[in-house]
Amino acid sequence: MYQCSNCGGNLKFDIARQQLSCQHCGAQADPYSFYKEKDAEERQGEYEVAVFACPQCGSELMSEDTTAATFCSFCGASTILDRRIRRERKPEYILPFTQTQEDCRAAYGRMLRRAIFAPKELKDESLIEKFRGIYMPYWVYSFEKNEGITFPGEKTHRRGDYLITDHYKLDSQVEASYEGLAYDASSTFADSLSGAIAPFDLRQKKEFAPSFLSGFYADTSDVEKYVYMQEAEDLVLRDAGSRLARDPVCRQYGAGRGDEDSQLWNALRPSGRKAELAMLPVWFLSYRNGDRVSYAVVNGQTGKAAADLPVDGKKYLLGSLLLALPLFLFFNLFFTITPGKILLTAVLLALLCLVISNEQITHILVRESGEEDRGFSYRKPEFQEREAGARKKRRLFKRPESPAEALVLVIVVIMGVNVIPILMLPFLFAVMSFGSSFGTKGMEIISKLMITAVIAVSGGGIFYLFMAIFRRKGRRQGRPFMGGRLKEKLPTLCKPFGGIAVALFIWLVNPVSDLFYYLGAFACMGTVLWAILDIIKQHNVLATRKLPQLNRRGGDEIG
Amino acid sequence: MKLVGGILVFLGGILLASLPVCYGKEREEVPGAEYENPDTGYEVFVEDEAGLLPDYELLEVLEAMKEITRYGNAAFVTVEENRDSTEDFARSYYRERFGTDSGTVLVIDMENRMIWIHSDGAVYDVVTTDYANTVTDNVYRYASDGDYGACAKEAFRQINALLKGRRIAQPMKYISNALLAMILALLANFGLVIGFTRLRKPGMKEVLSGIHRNFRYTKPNAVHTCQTKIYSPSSSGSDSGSSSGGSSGGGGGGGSSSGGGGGHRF
Repeated sequence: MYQCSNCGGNLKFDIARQQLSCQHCGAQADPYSFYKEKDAEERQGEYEVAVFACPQCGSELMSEDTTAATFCSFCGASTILDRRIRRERKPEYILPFTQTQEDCRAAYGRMLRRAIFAPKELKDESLIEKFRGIYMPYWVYSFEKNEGITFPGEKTHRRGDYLITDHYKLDSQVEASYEGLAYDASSTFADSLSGAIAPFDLRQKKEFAPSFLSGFYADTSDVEKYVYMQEAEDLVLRDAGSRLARDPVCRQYGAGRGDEDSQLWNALRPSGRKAELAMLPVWFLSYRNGDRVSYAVVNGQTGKAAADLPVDGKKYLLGSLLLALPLFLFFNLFFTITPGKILLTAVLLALLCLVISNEQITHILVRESGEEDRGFSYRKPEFQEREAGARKKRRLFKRPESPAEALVLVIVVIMGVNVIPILMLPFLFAVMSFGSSFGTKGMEIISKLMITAVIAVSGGGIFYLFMAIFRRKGRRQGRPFMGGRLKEKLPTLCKPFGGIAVALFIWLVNPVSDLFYYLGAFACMGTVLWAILDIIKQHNVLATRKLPQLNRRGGDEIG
Repeated sequence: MKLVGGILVFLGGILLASLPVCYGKEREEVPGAEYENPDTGYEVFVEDEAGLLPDYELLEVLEAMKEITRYGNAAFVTVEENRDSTEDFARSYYRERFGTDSGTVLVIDMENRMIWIHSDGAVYDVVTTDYANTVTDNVYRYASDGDYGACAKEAFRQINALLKGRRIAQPMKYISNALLAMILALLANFGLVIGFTRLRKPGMKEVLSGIHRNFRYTKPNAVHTCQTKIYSPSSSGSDSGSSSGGSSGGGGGGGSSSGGGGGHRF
């Protein structure tokens, strides 16, 4: 605790004044000039601080305050936190809070206005009051390069039946510096949350002094600096590479395009790398949802808010009914769907649900295993090995550089994939003629089965190639078919798949009576409705997190 | 009295003239009937080439079709052998019989086991493809049961109802649309949930906007190092510089029709 030199009262950091301010007499003090014996006695690179530990989840919060903390910001438990004094690594920088708690509440309120289906408990004043100002540890990366670089370029032209390529060596003197790429250094602070409230303007950073923490809490750093170093460097290389590639000379020689981009990246790779620990301001709120927890965070500098926002089932259903009414009237005015078309529509909707559901379950499985969070997963050795393996995999196709290139690629892919059905045509005719021995109906069913197979093969091929071409760079590289883990997904995905199977069966049998079409379509739509309910449940799982149990702090989540 | 008698004879003559007329010499081959509305000039044709209806039922169908002549022509055709699709048959029959005039034709195709309604002109504005599908959906069961007369009469009754601005029963349409609307509303709201509440990482530009960034370079200097040559024969036609010519133009079609329709197997 910092005492006022006038009255001995408690000094806390005043956001509006950006000074330490006395709670009793209103006297102010500069955080740097304020005399504190403890600060003077600091060991090199460390400072002494009170650490509050949650007896339930093991999370820790540091504070300069001596008053008891009555709830845990990470697991949401209302409990008296254990307090002890400890020496911690001193960060190099701090970005003081500039957004007050009122600003934070306003930002949270604005965000909630967009979340029309959020449960009303999230708007409860008693909950919003629990927003706590926490300085989160971040690794701030800086890169520089001041040297000459060499990278290849080429020009190609045709002469008769030959393609002549002239190869060039391009030289340039580069002077580049990127300072202030911040990545959270706490395993309790999820990357998805820290990413959602980024960026911070680190040009406003200040040298760290423990007195800045007075009146706030701080999380401890438990992630090594190398964890995000590569990601930050890739971002810098992408920016520098694209800037250089835009130069007319580089464009003339095709440098930084296609296969040349990795060579340009290598040439631009920084010669100097630096990682510094900084404390960045975050307003933090947790709310329990059964045995899970959700978080809301507001950037303490910019006021950008983000939260895990579950969906209230009743509100969602009511909202959907209200929207369904005008849609129903619109459809009645303009559409008459024939039995065949309603069956097809039901199949398309079921396919859509299948894709959404698969994406969500994949996301859930990745998140629950901790793979999504680099800071968290770094603490598990098996993830480090897996990430190293994933990095080794190379993409089959290069990302297109321009819309024209993308268009050409898409056309080539479509033509390429359609070779399959063309090659299958003779086989199809052979089967059809053989099928005629079964009579018209048998032939019809066989030919439809073949058409279905051809469409499935072509469609699947096109889809797979599209995914290979346009898949985002990064950790989704080398992702298995449908995100893998199909066994775990099967109980959920079998619902829309069952609907599709029923509809396809009716389409193949092709009965005369409409009744079968309607029954099939309604059955398929029933599975679609069921799948949508699953999708909402999955969203709510994604909008909550497992309670933290940290072994570094006494828990057992990591082990 | 003579005058009254004369008037009666005259009216009777008109009545007789408006009665179904059998096809003179074709009567033996294609049983049928026809009628012309004296006010509008629109005609009705009934041609039972497949011989599905007894004569009295042909007249009943004709009666059911008469009211349609207030809005356009009408035809009912049954066909035993048809190499084309029912739709093509209906379209070409209509074009031959009525040209681009307003009207509708109901075809029962025994070859393809299909009923089809094709309309054009003012009638098509009302009896759209969607409605043609609905009407055939409503009546195909009669054809499945072999009651072709009832099928045709009910189809023309529903067409007439539509032309008069009345509604026809479409229970499955409403159930389908209700389900579809509910599913689309649920999915659209899920889109809202994803769009407005999912956590998103900032893009590269946004991240780089908050950092000290300095990137300067001198104009790249290009030095030629080597040359490679790959044999890649171009396609035979593209490098010759001359074209072997080609065809141009095409046959002009007949008058285009904006009509359309719908049908159902039975």
